[in-house]
Amino acid sequence: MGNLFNNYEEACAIILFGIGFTTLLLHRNMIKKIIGFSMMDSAIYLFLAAKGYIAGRKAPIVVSVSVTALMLALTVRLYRRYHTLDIDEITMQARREEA
Amino acid sequence: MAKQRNDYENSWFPRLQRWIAQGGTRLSDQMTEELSEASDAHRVLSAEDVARREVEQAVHQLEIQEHEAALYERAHQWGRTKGAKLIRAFYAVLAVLMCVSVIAVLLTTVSNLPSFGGENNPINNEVSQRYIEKGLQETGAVNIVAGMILDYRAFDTLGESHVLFIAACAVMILLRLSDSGDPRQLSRERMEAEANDRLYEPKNDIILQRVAGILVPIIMLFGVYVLFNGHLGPGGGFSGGAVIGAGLILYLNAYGFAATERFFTIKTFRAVSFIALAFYALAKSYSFFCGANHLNSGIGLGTPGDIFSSGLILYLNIAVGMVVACTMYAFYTLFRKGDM
Amino acid sequence: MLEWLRFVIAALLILAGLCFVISSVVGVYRFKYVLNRMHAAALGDTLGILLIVLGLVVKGGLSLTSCKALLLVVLWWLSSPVASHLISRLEVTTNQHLEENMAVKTESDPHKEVEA
Repeated sequence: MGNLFNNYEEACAIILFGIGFTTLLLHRNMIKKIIGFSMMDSAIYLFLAAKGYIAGRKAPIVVSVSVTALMLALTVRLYRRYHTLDIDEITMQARREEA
Repeated sequence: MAKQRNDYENSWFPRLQRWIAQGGTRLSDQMTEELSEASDAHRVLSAEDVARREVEQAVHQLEIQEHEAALYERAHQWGRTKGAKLIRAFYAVLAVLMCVSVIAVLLTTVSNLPSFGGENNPINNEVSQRYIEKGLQETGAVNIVAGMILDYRAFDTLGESHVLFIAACAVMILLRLSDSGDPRQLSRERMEAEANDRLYEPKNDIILQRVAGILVPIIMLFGVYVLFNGHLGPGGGFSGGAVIGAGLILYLNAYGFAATERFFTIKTFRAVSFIALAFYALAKSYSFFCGANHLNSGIGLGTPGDIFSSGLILYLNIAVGMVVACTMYAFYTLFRKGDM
Repeated sequence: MLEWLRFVIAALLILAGLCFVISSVVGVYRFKYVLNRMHAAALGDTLGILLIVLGLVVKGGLSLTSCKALLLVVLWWLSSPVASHLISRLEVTTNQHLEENMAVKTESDPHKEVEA
């Protein structure tokens, strides 16, 4: 068990990362998956800040904004094409169109 | 208990006894018997018999096919409703298990990390000591963080601002209304975008316009203040740029595209982003070849606490802030209307 | 004595602000229609933050920091109601089933109500 309760900030950051990952996997709506991704990002910032990473303090947040913007742009295009936000439906329709 | 058998007479020993009692038959006699039996089955079939047999076979075939089709239908129906639920539940359980195992592995790693804030941690090594001790003296910036990200590690920030610009370009590729192609499709897309915009966004909302008239100058002023004071206090390029971008978005929301196009079009976006990034690249990109040391920029360090101190940091802050503001505004207007 | 009085007044103000914010959160989760939820969120926020900031000002004493906190309240009061107004306006313009559940005053004639 070691230092698990001493480093409770890092432990909380890891648990938040796990929750974000679970959200990414378990929902079928794409917007909810993007929210899970954003939770994973925030968990990583918390971990870095708890570790005392001084240089590049604002840089990770900029990366998160760019990644979220790109994913949302892709979601908008997918919605305009398939008119649904459900990832299972989109996969089924895409496979049907291929055949 | 063993299986009870009632036909003792037909088991092998009595049969052997009977066979011996009959004198035993020879194999050739048995074969001729069987041949004469089989020849009885060859009868000449008449035409009606053949037709009747074919009809029976066709009906039988149809029944088998319908039976199979019904079976498939039931299987697919089950697959679509209950099977889908079963697979989803299975997937959910597996996903949760995998996430729990990932969390467990990472938590064991965390428990083996050095204590939080301990003094012998590997992170408190001589690099951070030097940055903290000599930061003010070598970079001239009172804010050590700004001195670090724009002077000691300037090429990191070069990559960061390029990441923002690339993200804006990617979103523009995905969402911008097409410029080329046949003019009928182009104008129809534009009219659709205009109609959507008119329906969902506020046009000439009097409350919004009055409040934005008060708030936008304050926000812009605050953003410029944060930008210029990056080396003296908390702030700097990214935060100041985000605030200026927010001010631009509020102005666009209140007064519409026509009023904003007077001073911020796609050409402005291109020019500002390019000039800012090119300036930054010219100033610091040779660090790739010099092993992250940089030459003297010739601009004096000045006294700490002045606004024109710390050499190139002020100008690099302004460049980064411009890129960030343009990118924030580009994200907003591309998602809203698809054009700038 | 003065310290103790200051602490009590600050605690009461902060607790009152907290009550308003909690009731607005409960309203956001429990109401059925969008406009009701919007109403709960917008009203609870503004009064709640005023009381909390006043409590902090009383506790910390009057100084430059407390003036900045009051400026914060002014900024919040300028921006949050406008945001709620815009969201509600979006809801009214885009919800097709609005007339089934509530009476809507059309903009052309403010004295005429469109009954459900």
